[in-house]
Amino acid sequence: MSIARKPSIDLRDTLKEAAMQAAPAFPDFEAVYARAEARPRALRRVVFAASLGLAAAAASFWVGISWQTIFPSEKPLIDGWSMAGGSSAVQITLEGNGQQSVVLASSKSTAVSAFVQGLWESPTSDL
Amino acid sequence: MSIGVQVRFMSRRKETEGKGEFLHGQENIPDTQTLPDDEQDARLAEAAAHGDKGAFERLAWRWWDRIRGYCSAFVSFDPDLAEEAAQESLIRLYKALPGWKRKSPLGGYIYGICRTASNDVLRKAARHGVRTSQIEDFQLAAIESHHAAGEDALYREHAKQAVTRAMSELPPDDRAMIYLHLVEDKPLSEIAALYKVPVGTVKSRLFRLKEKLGQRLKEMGYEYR
Repeated sequence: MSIARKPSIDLRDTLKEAAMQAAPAFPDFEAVYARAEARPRALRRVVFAASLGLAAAAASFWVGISWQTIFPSEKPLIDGWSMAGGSSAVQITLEGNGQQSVVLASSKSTAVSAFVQGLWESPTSDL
Repeated sequence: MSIGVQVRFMSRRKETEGKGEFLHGQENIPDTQTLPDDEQDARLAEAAAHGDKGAFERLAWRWWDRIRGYCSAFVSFDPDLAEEAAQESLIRLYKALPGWKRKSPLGGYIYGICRTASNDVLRKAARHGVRTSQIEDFQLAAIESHHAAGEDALYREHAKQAVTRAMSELPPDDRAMIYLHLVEDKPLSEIAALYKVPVGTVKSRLFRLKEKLGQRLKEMGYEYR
């Protein structure tokens, strides 16, 4: 049959033939049973590994919490505060022992307190 | 390269030799010969759900052509993927049968399993970069058969190649849907239930698919009936 004559295709038969030719001729029951029975074991392994991972994560979390409680890493922002008024309104001193921290002390002066508060709250770019 | 394809086809035949026989005895299976097909399937499914492997094997054999045909169409007629999809479908069917409720139609249940199994096989193949096109294999098979069986066989191979190529351009679900409609003669209501869409949607989708398929075949120099 010449292709130039626009041959017609029986779509149903051709589809069926193509499908049957590509598909396996026989079911392999041995493999079906072997794989079906192996699957729960694989699933159990996954569940066991997941639960082990979860337990490890939970244990690590609680160890972390306990560690933080026993050895707190966060120091208070203000080491001390004294209400005793001095002669100066604001006193800035560098702490010793090589620590690069500034100790800012204020007297009860409202204006200075407001100024310090403004400094504290202002964005870095404004300084 | 054609030798390679020949060897592949031969090895596939060899692989399947000896498979497919019943592995388990058939003597305990309920006698269903006089019952209608649906009832026979339902009885076998019930027995299989209670662990009767003989009944499962008989049920699988009764459905085998439908399962492998559907899976093959879904994976665009790729022999390796079709084998994997059909096998995976059987495994899932074997495991899922105890959960089957008699009030739901067994056909829809089995096709649903085949659909998800084939979809997973395609996804897995895409993840691993497996080549899914079989066009080249068909071309080579056509050349071989031309020498072997003459012009008629060559025409049939060309036609098959054209249909395969046109079908491979459709999405997997659409390929399977048109296969169910054309080859398995499934009523629209069953297809609609399987795809969980209204009957009208199936009707219009099939119309568009056939039009698209016809147009593509026309471009390749064929007309279909």
